[in-house]
Amino acid sequence: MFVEGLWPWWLGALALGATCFGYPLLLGRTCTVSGFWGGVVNWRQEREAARAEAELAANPQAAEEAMLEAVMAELGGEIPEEIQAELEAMAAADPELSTPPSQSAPPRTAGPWGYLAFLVGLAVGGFIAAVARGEASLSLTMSPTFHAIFGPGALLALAFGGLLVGFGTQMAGGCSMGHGLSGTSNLQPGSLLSTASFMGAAVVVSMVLGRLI
Amino acid sequence: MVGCTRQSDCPLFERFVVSGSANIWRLLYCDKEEKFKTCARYEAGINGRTVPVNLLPNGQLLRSMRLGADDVC
Amino acid sequence: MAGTIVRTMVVGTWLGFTLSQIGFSDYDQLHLMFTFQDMRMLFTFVGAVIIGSMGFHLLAKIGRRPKVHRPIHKGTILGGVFFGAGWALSGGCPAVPLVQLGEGTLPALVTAAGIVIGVVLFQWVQRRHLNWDTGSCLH
Repeated sequence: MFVEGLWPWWLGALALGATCFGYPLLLGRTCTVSGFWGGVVNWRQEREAARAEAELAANPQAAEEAMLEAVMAELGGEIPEEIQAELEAMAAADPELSTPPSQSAPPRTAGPWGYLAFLVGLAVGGFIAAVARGEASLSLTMSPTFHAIFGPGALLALAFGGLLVGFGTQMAGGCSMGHGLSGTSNLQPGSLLSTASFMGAAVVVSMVLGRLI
Repeated sequence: MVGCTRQSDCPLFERFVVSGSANIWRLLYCDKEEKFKTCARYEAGINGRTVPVNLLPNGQLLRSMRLGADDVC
Repeated sequence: MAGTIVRTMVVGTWLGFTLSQIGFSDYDQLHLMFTFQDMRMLFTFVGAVIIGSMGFHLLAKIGRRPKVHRPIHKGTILGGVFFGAGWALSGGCPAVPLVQLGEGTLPALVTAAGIVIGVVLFQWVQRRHLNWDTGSCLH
């Protein structure tokens, strides 16, 4: 049942699945590691955005007033009759446009520090697990299969592979957590297709690499 | 409805719902065939930049009255 | 905001622990999964999707379901292909190199560096050449 101290599939499924909806439960948005990497790389922009978010969340009333003011300024001081009529028609046709969303709470943006904290947490978690399995040790090698495949090209494979991961997850807008877990469990078409694509590619490449052993 | 496909996700409409005034932006930008591409939020988005929640389609940054216009981060 | 950061780090730690305990940070295990020689982690993944799905339903019941809108766009397939290829090469779905670092596997630093370069590279390409509409401003 336990593969060298690793979890059986059902335990892993429970833990991973729990993370998938646990993250939104605690933080109001989905978990996507590729998004966090992107957020850390875009540090300054993310920090500005987090500030704006906090500012508005601190005083929603003032925010609404500011919005009204901005809209009036855009329209030159007053709402022309045609626009007023169109607004009313819009509200009548789709009442949802004027009701606060009941199912989603505004995300608590932690900003780039939060994203960094998550990434650091991943390492801490890995450390704890390794210690628990009695396997924690500094090592300059990856696992045996990796070296059997790549030999002297090991570092190149890591660098290039990492580059493809960084590039591809940004292009697709998600990773194995964002698309693979959160997206598919919500039956989102983009996630289903992306997951199929990355799993397919990983399988094909792995099979080819396997021949090099 | 032709226009910006990101409307359903745009925080502009989720966060400012009470007064309904945010819907004006739909009329001025989102629903307009070519106009939505000039929306500052859309432009930032497709250029891979982070879109702050207070960025208005006309490029202005919404500032809470409580903090004032010259509160620079 | 500090509370959010702490909470985020806690979940990150939990995920890191989980990924390590499942075996996602072990290239051997990943290779066995991707070549269908060992289905354990595949079942883990599928099981996690099902449990996640149930979890989202529960969240909806208490009014805390976040918006998850992921439409198909220009980068969906190609991005996935690049990612999958990179995953098979380096063993890193973006979380893994960090977990590996925590476990003491120093070469993962190279992988992580590669990821950062890849992220920067894509953002540059997107800005300069592509301008692809990925359907949403949210990550």
